[in-house]
Amino acid sequence: MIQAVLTGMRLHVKQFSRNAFDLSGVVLWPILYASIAYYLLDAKHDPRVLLSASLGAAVMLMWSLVVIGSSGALEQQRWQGTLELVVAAPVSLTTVVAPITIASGAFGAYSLVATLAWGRIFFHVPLGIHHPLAFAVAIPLCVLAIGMLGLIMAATFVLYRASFALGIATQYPMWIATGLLVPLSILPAWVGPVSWFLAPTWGFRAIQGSTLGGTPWPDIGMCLVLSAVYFCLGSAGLRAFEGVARARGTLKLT
Amino acid sequence: MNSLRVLFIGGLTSYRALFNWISPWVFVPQVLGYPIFEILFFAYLGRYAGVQSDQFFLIGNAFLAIAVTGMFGMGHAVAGKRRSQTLASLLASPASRIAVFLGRALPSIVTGVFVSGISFAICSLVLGVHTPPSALAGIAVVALVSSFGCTSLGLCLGALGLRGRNVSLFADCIGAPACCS
Repeated sequence: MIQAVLTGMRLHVKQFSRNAFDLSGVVLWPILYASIAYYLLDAKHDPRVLLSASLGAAVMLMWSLVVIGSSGALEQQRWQGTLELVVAAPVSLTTVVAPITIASGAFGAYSLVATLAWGRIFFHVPLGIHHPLAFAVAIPLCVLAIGMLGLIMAATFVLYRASFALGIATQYPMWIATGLLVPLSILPAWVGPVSWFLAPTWGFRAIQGSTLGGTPWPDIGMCLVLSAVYFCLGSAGLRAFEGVARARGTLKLT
Repeated sequence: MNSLRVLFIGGLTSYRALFNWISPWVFVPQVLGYPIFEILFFAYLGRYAGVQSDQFFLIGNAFLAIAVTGMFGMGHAVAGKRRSQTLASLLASPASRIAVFLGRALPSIVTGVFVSGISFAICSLVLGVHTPPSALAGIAVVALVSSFGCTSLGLCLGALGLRGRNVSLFADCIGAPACCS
């Protein structure tokens, strides 16, 4: 199983790095969103807000890469006619899909470096990491938690033929509901409880707390807990939706 | 008569294929969900930053929805032929190419205006933005002209897709500056 996961991650990274559209998304969009945030939030004249915006933009892109990467990969498999083979393989579908979402999230770690460097060079955003150890732990756990949330989404992608478009459509709702650039305090009150169930909220808080100062360890713990819960839900969802897709005969596109 | 049939029936068929429609409800998250939440995201970001009014972000992002629909939709209408391996048959057919490609453009123009209008209306209600009725006719005309322009740009991107393989990449490179402006 470990070999299948590692091979899956390696293959997805290879495929991803050969797609010009995916690469342009990785390179272009973190910088773009960070720049928009810098220009808008510069009016507050608070360097900490700009640094927080850098981190928020990076986590936004982590989610985007996970959801677009997994939905795109599954749609691609459906188009190429390999989804049926993947479903019929002796390893579970979770073992095939989880490496895709985790590898996509790992690409998001690049967006963190890109937004921080971009902010430092062009917007003079001060870089200072308050808790280096917590920061080093928070990033991979944030990637893992977001990747596992992507696993739940991927379960629906197995069922849904236009999965890539659905993946793209979930970007903004997640960015809003998790308070990555816009604080939850200015959103309607009901959004707050929704954000508690979403990994980007805790991943962002963990990275933000370890960078700006605060208590990041409880948020890091929440990332771990949510990763485990998502894994169970995602695996169950994949099994259930795989059954439905088989029964309806929708795995094959052509 | 045949060109008109290619224009309207062919365009409608191609448009449905663009969304891989199994049932019409696919249209909602795919085309309406994205611009609505995009408007809300930037409006709330503007509120937090204390920059510009909700109306500024509402109008700007409603027009961005037109740009996305026109550029990506039209670009993919052409690129999708390549993906589904029907491009060669289409180009080899005796049908008028103007009718074929204009047929793909008309639904995209209408969709752009429709998506922008619905997004504008829903987000106006959510954000509590009041637009004077006298301004609506002007906005509608500008939306129609913008949709025509963006779809035409999408057709150019689709033409580039006849040479390069990835239309999304071209649309991304043009869409990113549009998003900033």
